[in-house]
Amino acid sequence: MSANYWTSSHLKDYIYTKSELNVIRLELFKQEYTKYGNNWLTIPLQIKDENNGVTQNKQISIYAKELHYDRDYNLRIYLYLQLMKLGKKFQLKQVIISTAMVYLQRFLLKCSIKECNVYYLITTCLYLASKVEECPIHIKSLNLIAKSFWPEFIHSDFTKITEFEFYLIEELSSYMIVYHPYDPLKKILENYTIFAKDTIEDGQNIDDYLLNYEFLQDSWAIINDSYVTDSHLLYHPHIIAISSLLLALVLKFTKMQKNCKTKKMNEYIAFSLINIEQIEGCMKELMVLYQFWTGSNKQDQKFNEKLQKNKYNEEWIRFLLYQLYYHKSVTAV
Amino acid sequence: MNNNNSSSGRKPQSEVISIEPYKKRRDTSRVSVLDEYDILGYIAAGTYGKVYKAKKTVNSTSKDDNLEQENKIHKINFNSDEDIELDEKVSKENELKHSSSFTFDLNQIKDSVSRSEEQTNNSSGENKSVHGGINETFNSTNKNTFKNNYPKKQKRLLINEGDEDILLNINSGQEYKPDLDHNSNNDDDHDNGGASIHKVTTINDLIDAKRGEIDFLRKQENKNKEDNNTNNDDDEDESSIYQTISHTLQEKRKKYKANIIAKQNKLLKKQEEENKLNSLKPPQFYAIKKFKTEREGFEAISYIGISQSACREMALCRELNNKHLTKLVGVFLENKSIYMVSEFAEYDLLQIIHAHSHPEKKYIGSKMLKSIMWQILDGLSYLHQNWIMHRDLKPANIMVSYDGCVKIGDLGLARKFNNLIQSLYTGDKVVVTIWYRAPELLLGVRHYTPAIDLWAVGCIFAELISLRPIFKGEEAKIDNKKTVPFQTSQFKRILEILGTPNKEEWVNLEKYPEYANLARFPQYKNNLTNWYLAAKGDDKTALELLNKLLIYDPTKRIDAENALSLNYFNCEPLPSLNIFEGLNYKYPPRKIHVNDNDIIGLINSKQAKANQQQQQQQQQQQAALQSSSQKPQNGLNGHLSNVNPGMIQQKINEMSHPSQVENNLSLLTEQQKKLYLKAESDLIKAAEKKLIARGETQEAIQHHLKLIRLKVAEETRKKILTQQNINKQKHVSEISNALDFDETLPVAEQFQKLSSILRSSLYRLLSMFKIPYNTTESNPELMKKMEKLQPFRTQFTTLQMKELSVIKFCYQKERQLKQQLQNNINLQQAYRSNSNQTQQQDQTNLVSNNTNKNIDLEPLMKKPKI
Repeated sequence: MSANYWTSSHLKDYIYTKSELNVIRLELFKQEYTKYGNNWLTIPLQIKDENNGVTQNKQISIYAKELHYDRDYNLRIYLYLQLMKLGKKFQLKQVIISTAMVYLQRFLLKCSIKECNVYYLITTCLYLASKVEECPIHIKSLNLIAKSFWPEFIHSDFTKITEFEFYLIEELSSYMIVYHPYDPLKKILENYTIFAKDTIEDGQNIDDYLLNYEFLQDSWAIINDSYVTDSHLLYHPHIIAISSLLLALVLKFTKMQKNCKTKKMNEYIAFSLINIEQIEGCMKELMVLYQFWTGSNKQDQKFNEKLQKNKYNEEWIRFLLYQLYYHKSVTAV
Repeated sequence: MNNNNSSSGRKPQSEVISIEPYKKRRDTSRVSVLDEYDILGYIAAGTYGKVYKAKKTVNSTSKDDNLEQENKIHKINFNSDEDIELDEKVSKENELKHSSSFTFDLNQIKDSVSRSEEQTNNSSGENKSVHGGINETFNSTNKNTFKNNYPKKQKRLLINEGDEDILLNINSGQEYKPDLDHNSNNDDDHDNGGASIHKVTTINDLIDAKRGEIDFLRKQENKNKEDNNTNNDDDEDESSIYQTISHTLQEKRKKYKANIIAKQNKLLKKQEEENKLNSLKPPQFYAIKKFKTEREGFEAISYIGISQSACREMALCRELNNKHLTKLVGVFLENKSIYMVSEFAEYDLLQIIHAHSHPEKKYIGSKMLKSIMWQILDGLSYLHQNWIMHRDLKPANIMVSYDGCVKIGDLGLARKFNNLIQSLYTGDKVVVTIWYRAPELLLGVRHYTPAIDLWAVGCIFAELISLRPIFKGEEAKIDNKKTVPFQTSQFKRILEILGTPNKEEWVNLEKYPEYANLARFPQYKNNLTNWYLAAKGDDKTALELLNKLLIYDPTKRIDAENALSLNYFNCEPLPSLNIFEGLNYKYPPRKIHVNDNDIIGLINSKQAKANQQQQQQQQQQQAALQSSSQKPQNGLNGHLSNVNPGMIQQKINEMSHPSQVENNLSLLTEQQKKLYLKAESDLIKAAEKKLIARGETQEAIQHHLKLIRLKVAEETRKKILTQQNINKQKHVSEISNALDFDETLPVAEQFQKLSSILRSSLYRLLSMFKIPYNTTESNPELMKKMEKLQPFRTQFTTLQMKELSVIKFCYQKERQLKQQLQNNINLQQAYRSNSNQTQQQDQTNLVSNNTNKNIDLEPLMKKPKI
């Protein structure tokens, strides 16, 4: 977060358009295809029938959407929550976790999850982020805790992390400073307050228009969630900040409530000349994520309940990943 | 979906993928530093690693790559040009269609070329389809030409088919072999990394060839034109049709060709211009900073990833871009080390200050001083504007480029200071080199500000004025308890010049953690003006700047930006962008150490492979040698029976001690001992018989037997050693080979050979005891080191004894040679006194040379013999 975002490598090299992202990911897929060909995962499934506990082998394509970071929210949410889990254990600040998440996203543009163990990726990203954000955690304790979380995947020898760290830096071409929407959010709120005070008409109560601390909290939470989506590869931090602020407003005032804050906010955005198309795109990204995550648009109540229990198929993802990284299960058909 | 219980059984970890597949892919596609840069030598070394000076390799500029790619595209243009010619007899409309379709194709081709470049191993389906498409279009054109069936054209058709192959080959990233038939072409193995280089050269060749061809065609067509003009009606129908069409098309084609040629010429011109510019400029050098990450031995176990400072430097330098900061050009990560490539700066301030103070003091000129300060402050203000504190400013970290541009370097301690997650103090307890450390840091402040950098700048300014550090205190080391001690000595130095601060000067003085320590000092008066006058300063504005930089209170200290607008920088002489402006003195450039150019260990690994091969060969040779050398040993009896008394005498000198026999015995295993004793007794008996037969006295027989025993002992020991260490044995054999040299050679050459033998054997001996030595060391220095060996002497192995004997032999030989020389000289003097030296001049020259050599060797002779 050194001063100028507009001259930074984040802006120059790591903000893509959607089509660019698609090209990159297609390239990645091709690479995957040449490497793995027509491989299938053989998965032993226990089907609970009347016969009770018949084991069947099921073939799942290695190209199943759950195994692609760019195609499925399940995997994204899973990785995000795993990273949060690890970060929270060390009581790291959210900024560090967010930085790690951006590293992870950038890395997964150049490498598919089939090639490297995502659990190691998570651990290493967090380790590097903690260093870059000047709050280093000790590698031994990191390794220990990561091992306690994912015993099947993390080796007791922590030099694997250091080795991977090397490759991670190389793949990031040592561009490690990342900009986050947290600061712009604060500035936008300050700016908005000034704007609201300036434009207020006589007889109106200023408190109706000002956004309080609650909104800041809500938008923070939304920003945190935005790291699941591609928005940090697509949009500038301030766009994400203002989109999350808008979303927080929308969520707060659902129906016919008195809504002068939203109105004022819209005025402010129009006044501020921020690119509205980008805000729209970013909002869409976020809303699609929430739709998926909470299943709010589904009418079927049963389905909703099921979702509540197992929001993003966590166990299924974990199981698939396990099968993927377990060598012998990848067989050619 | 059936959700199964995941991770039910814990499988052994070795079967779980971690990052191996990715690693494998990544390692194969990596560009090495050595591919891009030639290492010239290192210029600095520290605990972090080394800084090397390097030059870009000739083949690696990215501009050239672009050019090559453009060439390729041009090549394709030529192809389409040919095709247009082929289609000439087809109607105009057709032709136009075709040309348009070709332009479309061209785009495709361009795409696929660039794609194939990115993706060297492209066997994916899509690219194939692209190739297929091209194939089809080409085929259709071919068909057209076949229909018309001109004999003259068919020749060109062949060319076209060849071209098609080239095109396809380019597209699929394969190597084009012009000599091959196109049928066999496809069956060849193409999958190799070196193909791209081949490709480029062949393509360039092809372009040249095509150019020639076009010229030729044009000439022919012109001729035809002339023919047509003279006798239009007499021509055949077909050719006349062709000619008319070609007439109309010719100009188009000409334009097209002209365009292409013009483009190419432009490109060439550009290249030439660039080359000219490059040749005018001094060659661009780069500094490569190598961070070691894996240290040898013990520390490798506790290696915890790349260091914080390497991490900082990489992350920050990537973002920063200012004239007065060393610019990062690239980062390479390979072989467990980090290589940061940045601009090379020929000097640093420490060097410049040193050059001014040695051998005698010459103060730095006011204009240069001002320029330096202005540029430092400019760079620093950029850093501070970007919320970065340098935290390690000192003369050694401020570089000056060849053309006099100051560059702040070494951001290993630099840190962003907005949005601190962790306080500055918890990150690094101690920052800034002691002489340049700001007073608030000395007082143990927890939350400091960028003002600490300006204090350091003040210190540097003072050092530039007086040519010695202004506050040269001694550092109190951190004790075992890991608490930061109070730097008494350093603070005293500051007080002596700046006086004791009071509360008005420094508002929050009492709140600092180490204030109690400060209160113990006696009162001092501010002495800075006197100090400035003593350093022969006469510029009031300079003193003003110095005063403002060395203010105690960090909140009152001037910041970088305001310092730039002070009077000092606005009055004559104005600061310039070249600090050497108007200076006819050149500072000595950096010293380059060339003895360690192995920047990566990559060379090592490559060499190791070569060495391994060599060793294998050597071992084979050795084995062969051994088998041959064993034969005479088997026939030891015969060998010993004719013992030469002179040889034995020599052996006595060398071996000297019978205890060695026992030593030798202790080396043997039980079985070997038995064998040895048996062989010995056999030998001795045989020898005894012979001696008795000769009629020697009893005493003499005993004496001989003793010698024979020694001899046998030595032989067995040698045998053991050869088995134990084949390589070392090789040295010995080398030495013995080298030792019997030709005495008929001129004396000078004999001396040379002697000294080389002596040297090498000295090296070997020293290396056996791991005493460091240098290739440039002269013999006397080596001898000094040899003296260190004296205490070890009793423990010498035979191999080492051998070396010693070689050395001894060398000295003997040398003495002999010297005597010879002396004799020669004497003879010549005698000769000279008798007759005129007309004929002897050549010889005397030679001798004088020899005597010079002699003098060189003289100190050697005086050294005590070992």
